[in-house]
Amino acid sequence: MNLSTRIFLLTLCGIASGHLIGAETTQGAPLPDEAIIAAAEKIDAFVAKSCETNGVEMNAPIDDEVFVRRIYLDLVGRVPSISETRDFLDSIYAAKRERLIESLLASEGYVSHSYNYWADILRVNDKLGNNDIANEAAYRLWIKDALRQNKPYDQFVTQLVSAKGHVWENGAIGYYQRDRGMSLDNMANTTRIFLGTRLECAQCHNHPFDKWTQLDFFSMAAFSNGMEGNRYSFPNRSALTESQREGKGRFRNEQLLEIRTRLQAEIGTDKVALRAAVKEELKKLRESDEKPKKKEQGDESLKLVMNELYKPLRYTAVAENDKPLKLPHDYQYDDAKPGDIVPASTMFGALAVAENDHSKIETYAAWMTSTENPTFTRVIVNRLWKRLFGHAIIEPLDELTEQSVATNPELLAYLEVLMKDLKFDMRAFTRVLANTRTYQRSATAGELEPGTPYYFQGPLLRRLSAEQVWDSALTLLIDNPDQYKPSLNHDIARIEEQKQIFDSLEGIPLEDYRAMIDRLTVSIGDRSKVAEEKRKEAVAARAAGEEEKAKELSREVRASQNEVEKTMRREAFALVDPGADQQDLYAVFGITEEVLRDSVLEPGQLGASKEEMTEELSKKERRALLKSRQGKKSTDAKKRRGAKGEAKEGDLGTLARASEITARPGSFLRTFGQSDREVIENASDEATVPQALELLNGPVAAALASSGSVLGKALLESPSPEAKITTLYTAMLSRAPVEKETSRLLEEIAARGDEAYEDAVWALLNSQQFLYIQ
Amino acid sequence: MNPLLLQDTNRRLFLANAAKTLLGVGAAPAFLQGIPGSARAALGPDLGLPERVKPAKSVIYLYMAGGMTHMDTFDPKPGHENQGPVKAIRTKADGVEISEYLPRLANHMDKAAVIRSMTSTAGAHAQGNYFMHTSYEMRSTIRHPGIGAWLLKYKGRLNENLPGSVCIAGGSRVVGGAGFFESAFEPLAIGDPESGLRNSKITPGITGERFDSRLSLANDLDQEFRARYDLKRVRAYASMYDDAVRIMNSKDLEVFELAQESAETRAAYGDSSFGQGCLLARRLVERDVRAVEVTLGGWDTHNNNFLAAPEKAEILDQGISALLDDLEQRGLLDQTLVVLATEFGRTPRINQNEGRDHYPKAFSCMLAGGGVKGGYVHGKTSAGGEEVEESPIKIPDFNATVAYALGLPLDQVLYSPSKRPFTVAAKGKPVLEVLT
Repeated sequence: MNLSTRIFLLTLCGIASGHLIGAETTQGAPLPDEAIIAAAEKIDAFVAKSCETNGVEMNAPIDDEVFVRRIYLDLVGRVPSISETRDFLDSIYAAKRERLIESLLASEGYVSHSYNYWADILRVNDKLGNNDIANEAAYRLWIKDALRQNKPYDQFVTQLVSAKGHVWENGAIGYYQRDRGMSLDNMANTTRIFLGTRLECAQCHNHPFDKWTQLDFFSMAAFSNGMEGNRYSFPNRSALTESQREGKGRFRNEQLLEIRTRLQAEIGTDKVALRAAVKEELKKLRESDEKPKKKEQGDESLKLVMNELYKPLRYTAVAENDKPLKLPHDYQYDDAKPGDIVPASTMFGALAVAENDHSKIETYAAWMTSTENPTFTRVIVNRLWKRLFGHAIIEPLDELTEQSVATNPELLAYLEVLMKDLKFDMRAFTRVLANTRTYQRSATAGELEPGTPYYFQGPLLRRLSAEQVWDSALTLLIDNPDQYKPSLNHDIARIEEQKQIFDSLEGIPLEDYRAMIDRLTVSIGDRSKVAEEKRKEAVAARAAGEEEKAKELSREVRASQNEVEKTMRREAFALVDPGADQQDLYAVFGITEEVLRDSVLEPGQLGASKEEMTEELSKKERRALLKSRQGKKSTDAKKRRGAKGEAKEGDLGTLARASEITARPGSFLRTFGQSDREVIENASDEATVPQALELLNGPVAAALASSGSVLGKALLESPSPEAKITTLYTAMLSRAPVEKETSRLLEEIAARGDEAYEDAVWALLNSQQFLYIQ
Repeated sequence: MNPLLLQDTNRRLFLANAAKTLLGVGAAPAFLQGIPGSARAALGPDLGLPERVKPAKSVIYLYMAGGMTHMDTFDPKPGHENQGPVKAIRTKADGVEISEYLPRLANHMDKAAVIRSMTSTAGAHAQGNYFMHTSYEMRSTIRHPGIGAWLLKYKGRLNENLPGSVCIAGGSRVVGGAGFFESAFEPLAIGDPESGLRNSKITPGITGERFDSRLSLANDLDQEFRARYDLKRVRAYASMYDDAVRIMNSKDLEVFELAQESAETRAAYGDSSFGQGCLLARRLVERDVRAVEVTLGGWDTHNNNFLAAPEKAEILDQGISALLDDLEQRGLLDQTLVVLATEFGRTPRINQNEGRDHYPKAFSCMLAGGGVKGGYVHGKTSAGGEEVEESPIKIPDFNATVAYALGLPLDQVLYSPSKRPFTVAAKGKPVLEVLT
């Protein structure tokens, strides 16, 4: 859909919203309890003392206008809507700030905003960097569910680090699937994210600046080394292959065993030499009359059938095995030898002791998240502090060493105690911070040079994150964007598909399974022959120089091979019943009826384009989706190249919150520095030319100024030029215009007429105050 | 100061501090800025190489994604059972034969050097691709810069109105981008070679006069904020807007208008994303863009190699031949290094699906132009294409050759924000024989 159609639809769907979110947020929530206020006061006292000692003057308290914009951006990740701003500013309740804080923390906007933060830390990128469509969807849903439930941080981390099971049971397995095949890197990431300890260096050699040795690293890695996301064993499949081996394969195996025994007597047990000799012997045999038993056609077809059927299931679970971890072949220190098996042992703090029947990974997770583990609490406290103040008490917070200095040690110590007292409740902790006078001071206007201490006379001036910029623009475009989740049903359908494929293969009795595989093997054998003939023809055509004919025939070969796979899957997955497990999966991922109901836009609700409303899939459509995906060749993903991978110019994209969108390179979000999530915390808030170009000439500016946007409509409804100017400032900057601004705009209106309103929207979007949290 | 002792705060602060930006202001080498301690860079491996005289100015990097079959392109083995139906043909270079799938390129082999003894151990796509682009193993704890980023880091940008580095048709994931360097070194990614620089034109219906008046309105309304927060990063935005407007008005933007080329020229490059990407690459280096990468995907020929490979080869053949021809005619070939690389080769033995599987043990890459010895073949594989028999070249060695041809210091160590030391080609040794 092009921009003008979309805007037209926006206009078409536009009705007065009249929602009361703002009113609810300032009146519905209970007062913060005394403990919260007491804790906030304590923090203020620590900060005041530190500022005084260091001769720093504290910033002035902020007024309600600055507060309302800041608190919405900080807690729910977007600017307040016009009515949310007005409701707050007009409220006469004494404790309106406390109430607003509490209700924002309880809202879906908090989930969305916090998800963006964790997605950057956990590197939740497109398909988890592999081709893991279901794993990615499940991981996203799991993180959001954890945030929505306000899962205590220690549990959150425990469940990530010890995640096991099928993707349809536990979305947290994304934590290991993200680093599949790189368990050592995963360990380095784990210690950095949760313990603020950088171990990448010690992965290959003793750490040059810190105390960690390579042996320390491997001892830690031995805990998580058994976490395996690549799945090979399936009960039905194994049972079948076992019996195959006993039958047809016996002769071949006996022959091989005989050769090996004979050669071993000659050569000895040197593995490399032996393998080479066996290979040589087999080659001789092949060339002689005494050929080893040739593979039967059936073997090949069976292999093809098995590969195709199980391909979708290969990465659908994480399990823990007992795989020992050995030191690398180039290990160079005296404390151990290359190839030594490393026993699991923790590098600092109390030794991890296995309790009851805890596995290695569970023992490890328990050690890591224990209140006894000093850096575990320190890191999260610094993180949550930094989110609101723009700077951590120890910087960098994920590289704690013995030399690390807190700018305010007493404050940090207190915050750690507080976090433990709050039982790692991240919402409650954030609520305390937001209630401090320290937080509610104006942003520091001075330059902070890297490496210089900061004493928190107020928060730093922060640029909006890419997600905050997008979500704020969205707030001006569509009404009440927080609940809308256009991909929710797709996500569930993708996870469900994995489960159904698994059930249709492994959830049936062995006899049925055997019969199905036999049937498929025969039918595939026949079909493959047809494709094979075509292929020969095509190669012959090319050899004869008939290029066009060869190309045509190649297309037919591909089509007929596709057909083979499609047919096979269709037969194998005949039992699949799309939608059958849907309800269960909603429950697994914490999608309550309320969340589900709010996830779609009602027809007529402002902002719902037709395209987006059709995202809600009927059962029939879901079946079609599943079928089409089953028929898809696995190489399709690799063909996805060129323009498709990139966001189209001039396209607004899906009008949903950043947390619900996979941003492509070149998209608004990526342009503004959204993390590519390739490495930890890779978001950027640097100024770049494409950002300026995006705001100057991109579709967002045009859409905002159109009469179909929330803002455009509010402007239309404002009766006078002065009222329109006030509306504009309330919407975009959550404040009333000052006199100078009003007069400048009135000048513009006098000169250019109604056009001037579009210009004014554009000008404020392109002003830097829009991009900063003051 | 010893860079090892330099205490940096964190990446973002330090990045904000190095006020260099994509399509940014300065054309001067950024090499002395940004990376902690790089001003007094530590000594790396001492290769004892003289500084490259007349290094190439730009690089066009043609990436064959999926693993290009070496036997059916640059290393044919006529008569051997592994070769299948593909024949070898003579080329303009004496004694150099390549596959019959590349008939046009055969006429340009006098400009190119083929390395037939590439060898690696990275046999999976993502890992192989990453290794080829960066010379380092893929880790999930760090991202290493690609050759374009290193080139910009050391040599700076030559045209301040255009990005220093452009990546064409590479799909949704840029491999070997800025890595741990500042985002100013990130290549501009262009999916469709005909799409141009995003958002560089005024919204239709807005006149230049109105655009200017909007700008001055924005400036006026923002005065107070900018005065109150007179900070480097706030000021950086003001200068970005100046740059953006200057670029919008720059004639250099025409570089993206492929329609300016004659129909014959466009046809010569071939009607494919890769071919037109090669044409855009030529236009970009003509305007002093330092590095352009063009991707041709689909080389993963596990099935039907002898049907799929010739189709890919034809696209490659058209694009690269037109490119070499064009560069030569315009006198750009001497200053432009053309690189053809891939993550690995493909199994010499033909599999049961008439395909070839991944084969990092032996494969081929090609270099041309910018100081490369034309008509030259380096290294050799065994009769069946399975083993490297002469002069094995590892991926870091190949990249060191590219870097050396571009005049980059192979010995110099730069540090990532986590203070780990890196060099442009991971201590690889350049293959001097392929250079003049």
